[in-house]
Amino acid sequence: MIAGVLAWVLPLFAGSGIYAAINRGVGGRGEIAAALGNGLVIGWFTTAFLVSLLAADDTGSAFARVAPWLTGLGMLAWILAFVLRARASSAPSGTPPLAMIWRVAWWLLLALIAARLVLLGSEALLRPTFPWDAWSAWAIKPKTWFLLDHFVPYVDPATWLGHPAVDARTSAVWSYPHLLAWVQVWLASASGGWIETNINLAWTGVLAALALASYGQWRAIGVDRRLAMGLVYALVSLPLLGAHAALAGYADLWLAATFGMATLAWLRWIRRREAGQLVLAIAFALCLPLVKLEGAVWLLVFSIIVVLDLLPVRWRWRVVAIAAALIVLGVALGGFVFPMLGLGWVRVDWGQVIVPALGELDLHWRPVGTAMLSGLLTLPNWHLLWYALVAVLAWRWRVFAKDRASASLGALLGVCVVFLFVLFFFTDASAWAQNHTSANRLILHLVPSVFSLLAVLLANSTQGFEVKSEHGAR
Amino acid sequence: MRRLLFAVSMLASVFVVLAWAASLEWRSPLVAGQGHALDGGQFTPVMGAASSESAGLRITTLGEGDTALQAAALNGLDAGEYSLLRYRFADFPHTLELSLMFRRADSADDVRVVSLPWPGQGDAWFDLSSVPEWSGRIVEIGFAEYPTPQVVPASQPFAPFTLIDAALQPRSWRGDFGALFTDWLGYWPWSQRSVHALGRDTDTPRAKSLVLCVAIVIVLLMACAFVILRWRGRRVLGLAAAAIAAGWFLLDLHWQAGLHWRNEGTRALYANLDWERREQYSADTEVIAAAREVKSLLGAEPDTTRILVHAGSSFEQLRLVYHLLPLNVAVLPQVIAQAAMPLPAGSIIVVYNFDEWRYDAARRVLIGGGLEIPSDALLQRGALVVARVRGVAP
Repeated sequence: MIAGVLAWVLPLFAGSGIYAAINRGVGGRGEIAAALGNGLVIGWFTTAFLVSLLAADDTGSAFARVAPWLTGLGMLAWILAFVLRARASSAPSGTPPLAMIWRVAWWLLLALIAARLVLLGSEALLRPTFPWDAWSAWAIKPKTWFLLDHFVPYVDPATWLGHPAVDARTSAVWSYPHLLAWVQVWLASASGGWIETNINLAWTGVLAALALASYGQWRAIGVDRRLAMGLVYALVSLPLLGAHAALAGYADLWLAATFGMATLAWLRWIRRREAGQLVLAIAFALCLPLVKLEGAVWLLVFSIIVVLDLLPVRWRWRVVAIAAALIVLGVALGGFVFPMLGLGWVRVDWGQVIVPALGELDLHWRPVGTAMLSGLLTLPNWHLLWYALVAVLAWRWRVFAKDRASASLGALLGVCVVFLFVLFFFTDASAWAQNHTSANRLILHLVPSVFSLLAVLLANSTQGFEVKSEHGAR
Repeated sequence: MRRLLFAVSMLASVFVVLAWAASLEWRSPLVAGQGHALDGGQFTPVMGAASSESAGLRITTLGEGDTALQAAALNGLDAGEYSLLRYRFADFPHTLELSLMFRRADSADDVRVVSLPWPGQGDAWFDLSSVPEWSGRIVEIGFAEYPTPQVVPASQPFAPFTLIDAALQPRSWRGDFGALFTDWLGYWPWSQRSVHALGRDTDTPRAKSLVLCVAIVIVLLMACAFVILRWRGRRVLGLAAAAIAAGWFLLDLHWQAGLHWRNEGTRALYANLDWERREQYSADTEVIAAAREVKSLLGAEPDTTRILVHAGSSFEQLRLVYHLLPLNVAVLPQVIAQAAMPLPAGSIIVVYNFDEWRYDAARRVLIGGGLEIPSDALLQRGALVVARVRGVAP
């Protein structure tokens, strides 16, 4: 029981310490929430890294071996955070008090969020791993490693069958990344057995962490606390997000949280030029392909937009034009290859893309618009999110021209949407849209970032652009 | 005056949207009267046990195939005329699903099945006109109840419930709206589809989307405010924000209620079990038992021994792999598809619940899927065959 609690507390302690050290303290507006939310995910990822490093040969002792390291790392990080905090200039923290009705509404929303998380957590704590890919894919490696008491490599079926004397395993998901598997090993070790419900509760924790990080980071960039709490409630209330917490086991919620936290830190860096937040954004982005292979695509898009965003305005379009010309030229000359972290060397030909980890994608038009719109606008997956997004974009589109954070995040999500459009309308992945399977899960990866876009667009409606002008955005 | 007009317009708009969603027939009566009503006692238990009580038919046990079925004969009822089904149960468990079965005069041997929304308390309605098979003369209807597939183990203790009554009625406003609200507000269990797309996982036709209707009402609200109240600028924006927030909140209240309902079902299944019992208490208890048998048989095998699993369905195959961990196990068809080479001698093949595969003891080969694999049987019991590959197999 104590180990089970410490399996959460120690990563939170270490992760929030790391966040605080990178952020140079947690004294500003929304910082406590940001530290707790980002900290839990940073902590679990750090824990996964330590478990793979220190306990691969004795996974059953993962908790005993890694817990002292997490304690030490956390203490060091918090000391560093304290020292750096003393030297750092304090971030803006003063906020005028709210009227009573708004205070009541704020607390009511917080209570609703807490109630939802408790309900989702209760479901995860009771039910053995249920969704198909959770047990047939994501739990295969950690369960094997934990029950074997040591790490064994997973290889492709041909290698597995061709080398029968080697202690290796195979599975249809042999190439899936290991980050979540090590988190699961950690939680199993702390539980004293492969107790799925104890492991699956982490999914509710990730949703809570995403909520805290979103609130904290939005507050830190100046979003009104009423709007921030309203948006957090809206985010946590999304049925598909809740389903992934209640029916835990898929990696999509983790990927959504990681991408969302990368976006939040990047936004904050754009607004406040805090170098630590850029480091966080890059660190979260680099973890994307370690969570799930699709994360490599989001990492690529994120990297392109961040780099473009760093360029002077007059250079951006030139770089885009040159890159587009090179792609056209490459395809015209018979195709080209480029590396993608986690996916291998991707080959692009006319009408075809070959991704080693995913196979050949033949590009031609598939009419799945009705199915896609049905999944977004009529099924009870997203409440009114996409209607609200259209309304806000129609109302606030001028903000993109005036606010750099909105424009940059809009560009990031725009490119992601273009990728999904090509994927669903031009490849065999259209079947995922047609039968309402993976399409919504891929969209889910972007949803926390969509809420950040809503936050910056709506925040500016009442506050103007004082933060931007204060920090001299271009 | 404008405000009154606005209020009337909004009420009319909401009504029109509801009528559209319910596929309301304007010329049908408000209430259809009794229609063809059947008390619970008029149904006969076909599968499972039931007894007639004053409140209706009390179903006390499930029958063959873990299903209870109660049927009532009809005298060739015109399906086109009686297209609305009203049904009422008491104490219907969270762990059961409900279907309507019916027979037509033109094909009395064929039993047709329609998945129904969970009945809840009070009257539930279903619009059968959306079911293509609901046509011609109906000679029998019945209700089938069974544990929720993939969610509830067949061994779940049965809780008795009562079929109070049912009726087949002509179209009416009451029935059309009843069917709409039963569809919108009815609870549905988790399914494998729930991490991809939410809603009742059924091929049965559904009513129009609640989310879409809420969005349409919000758009109409904005239009009325713009045209009738002549609101502009921040007033319209404020109204839009409030309407979207209210619509979102209403949808979320409904989602929250559904979560509570599902959580009650989960609690009914697992709340009183420790982890060891919970782990084995799932919808695949037979696969778990088979995995235990195989594990017990192969427990002393070296970690390097390749074990290949094949089963009658993908679900059983993958569940068996999962339950056999940490044995060095893989799915036979996947391995054969990706590794075109002989199976190493000493490998073990586990076949579960797959009639096409059999072990020929005389020839000492495992036969199935166009393959003949020289092997020695380690276990043949019921649906389970375990054999060790003897030489080189194709």
